[in-house]
Amino acid sequence: MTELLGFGREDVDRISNDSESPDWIKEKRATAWQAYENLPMPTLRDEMWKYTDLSTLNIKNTRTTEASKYSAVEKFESFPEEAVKLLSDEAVQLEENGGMCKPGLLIQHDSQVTFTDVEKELTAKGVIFCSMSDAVRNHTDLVRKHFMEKVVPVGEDKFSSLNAALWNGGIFLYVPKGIEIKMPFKSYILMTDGGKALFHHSLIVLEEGAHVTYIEQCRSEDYATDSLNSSVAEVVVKEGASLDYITLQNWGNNVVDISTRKAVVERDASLNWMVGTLGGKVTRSAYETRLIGQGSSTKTRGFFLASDRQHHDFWGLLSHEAPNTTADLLYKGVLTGKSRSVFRGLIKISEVAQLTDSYLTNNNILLSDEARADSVPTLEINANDVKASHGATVGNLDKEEIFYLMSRGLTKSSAEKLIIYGFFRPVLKSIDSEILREHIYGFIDKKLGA
Amino acid sequence: MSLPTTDIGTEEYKYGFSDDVKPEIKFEKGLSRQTVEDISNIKNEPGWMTETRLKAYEIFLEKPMPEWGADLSDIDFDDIIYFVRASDRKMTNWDDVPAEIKETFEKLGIPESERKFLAGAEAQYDSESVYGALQGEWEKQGVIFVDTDTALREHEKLLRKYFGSVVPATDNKLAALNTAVWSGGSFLYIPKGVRVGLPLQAYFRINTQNMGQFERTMIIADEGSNVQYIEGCTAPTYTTNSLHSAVVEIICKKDSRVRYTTLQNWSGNVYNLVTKRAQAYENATMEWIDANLGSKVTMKYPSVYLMERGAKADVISIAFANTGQHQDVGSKVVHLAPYTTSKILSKSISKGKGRSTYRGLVKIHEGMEGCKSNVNCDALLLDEASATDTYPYIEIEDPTAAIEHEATVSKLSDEQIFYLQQRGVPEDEARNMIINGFIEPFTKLLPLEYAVEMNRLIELQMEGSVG
Repeated sequence: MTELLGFGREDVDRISNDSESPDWIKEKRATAWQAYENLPMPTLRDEMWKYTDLSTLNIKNTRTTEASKYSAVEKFESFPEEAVKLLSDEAVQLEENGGMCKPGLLIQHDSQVTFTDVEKELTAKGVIFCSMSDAVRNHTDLVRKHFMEKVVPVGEDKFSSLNAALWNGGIFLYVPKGIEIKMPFKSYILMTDGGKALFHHSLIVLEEGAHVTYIEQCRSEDYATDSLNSSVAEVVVKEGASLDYITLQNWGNNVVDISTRKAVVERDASLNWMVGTLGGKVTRSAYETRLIGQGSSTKTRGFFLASDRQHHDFWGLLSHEAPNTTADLLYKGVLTGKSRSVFRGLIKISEVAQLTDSYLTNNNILLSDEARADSVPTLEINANDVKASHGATVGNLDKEEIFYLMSRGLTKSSAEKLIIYGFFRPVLKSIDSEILREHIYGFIDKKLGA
Repeated sequence: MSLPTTDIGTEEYKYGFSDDVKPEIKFEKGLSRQTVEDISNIKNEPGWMTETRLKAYEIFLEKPMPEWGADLSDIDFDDIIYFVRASDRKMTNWDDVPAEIKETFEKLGIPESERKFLAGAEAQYDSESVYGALQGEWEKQGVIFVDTDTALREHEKLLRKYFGSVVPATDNKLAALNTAVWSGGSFLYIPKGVRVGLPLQAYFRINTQNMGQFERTMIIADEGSNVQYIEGCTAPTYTTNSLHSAVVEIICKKDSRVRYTTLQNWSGNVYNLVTKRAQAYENATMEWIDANLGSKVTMKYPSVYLMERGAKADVISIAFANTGQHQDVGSKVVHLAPYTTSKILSKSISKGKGRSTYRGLVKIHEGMEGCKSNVNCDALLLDEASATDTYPYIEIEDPTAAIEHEATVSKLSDEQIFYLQQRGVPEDEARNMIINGFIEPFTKLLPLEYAVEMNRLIELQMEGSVG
């Protein structure tokens, strides 16, 4: 078998030789590279990769880049028009807010952060929202405690190790004790060409009683050659804090995305994931939540709309490691063309996690003969005083529902669209931002060819 | 309500006794090419069977042990006796069966049940069948119900046609092992249009310590036929482990209907690793009714391949895992034809430190339009240390499929127990009632005598669980 990826030790060295990089980071990169080299590349024989064949991917020639073709700017308006194009909805929003990016906005072109703006008052209160590479230099103590330690330790798996060796993008969000912010922190990762390999590593730490929302979006145009994106995020939600974490992946049709996001949720804290997978060629996204404190909770709402030859592979872990914890995961998808989806979910309840409630649901609609949906919703229960259930369905659009709507004067395609909107509604209604919802609906319309 | 009496005293596993039967032939422990040849020679088998066995032995050596599922690391294939012949010939008259063996089966209630409600019975003791009978009425209609060794002698052509066609030796390591060293099992053929009104029964008993039982069962239901087959399994309680690794192949031809019921109640030292598979052709119905109460470890996933339009699979299974037991069971249905339907209902109860696992697959191939599948898994956890897992695989390649899967896990409801106690039912009885209710969808499909026995067995398992 030929190699899937073409990275070498020299790529690690090149990033490490950046004089501004602290020594402990250089060490971590070296250890991670070693782990990456020692770990076998997952194949279809690995249970967790059973339905996603990496050997067919054509990403061997993707290359990391340190600098973007766009230079960093002070003001959002200073980006060249071409660079703003992907962010038209954000531009509208900024205009409405009189040019203010409250509470914080961070834009990355490829691996370089080209724009950062954080509300001054929040910075004064100790809130940090900056690029990961700035954070390891300027906020060493805060970062070092969590960075690649307990949430996603170095050497955990092949791709997160590669990410740990080669990362140079990503954000750091730190919210001190008791701070509550309604408006979302936002970050964009934009890819500007084909043939690239982007590695982001993000860290989000919420101190006790902090409440924030973070929206992360990936976007790019369609390019001729395939690219690789790898995002790893580590999330720590401390006692009584809550985080809403929204990710929308909307890459062009040439991007292979292999990403992992993991969170540790402490006592009485909560974490809500909102996951949207729209673009990309092959997407593998892992979301793992460990409820380690009594009374902690997590909710996941996810959706995807796959077309053509898109392949979406989702893995969600709800790990109950303390009593009185609750989790609820709902993942809904529509497939057209020759697309394929994989849903794998696991509710894991440890011996100590009594009085736990946990739910896992996956619904899929197949719109074409050649689409395929695989679903593996699993349970591992080691405590008895719990309520746990999961459900999965695969089917097509209800002919009677379409007939009913058509008898009310709708065309077939608009009837179908309406039903699909309804199907996604339980997921999309959890998005507060109207502009973001509109953006998603616009995307769904485009994909359904309406 | 007609609940069986709850006077269960201090009974333990009641089939745990062993008998002092001097076997006619008993192999040394261990497996080699020679062992395989010896088994074949003793049975005077035709050359093709010896070859099939030897080929399977090679496959067995090559295949890895399954790494998923239950912990099988304790199995030592060299510490197993692969063949024990208890009696030199098979009896058709109960009175001729050697006294000790007869006593065993009488304790188990076999001849009695045969007289009462069975159309035929086979009893296997260690490696070979010791007794077989079929009521004359069915015999006249051309039904064949013999042990598989006899079938190889008397119905070689028929057996050869289907042997390994549903479960090839290459399927998995244990299927290869079974193909190499198989002995005994039932062979059942139902001719076209014959409906056998009463169930046929087979009884499997392991008596020898460190014994490996590898029966091979085949059922061929010809067009439009209908049959019910029931098997029961027990073994004495030893401190060392025994292995039971059967292969069951079933062919349901057009419009036929086969119901295969298993009451697995091996003692707590038996590894029960079984490959059961059926092929259902046009409009045929295959029903697996599967109860796993005993054994140390069971890995068994009765499967149905729906080969032609309109075929139907119905699987109902219950598992009871007590301390020291892991019931890793489930079902697999592969829809290979349009308009096929499947339904899986799995109920499991975990008690003490027992672990029960549902592992299943529903696969609908591309272009197989109008398929329906419904899977339901319910798990009941009785104690804090009890555990349960659910691993359903759903693979759908056709948009017209309608697939539903649902699983729930819960503990015995305090409210329900409280309610029954209020009505004057003591707590232990209340728990039994709720559990009997939980498995009722299963027990109602059993012949009455078995249903009563089933409830009794569950009560036995439940004993001493209060307080």
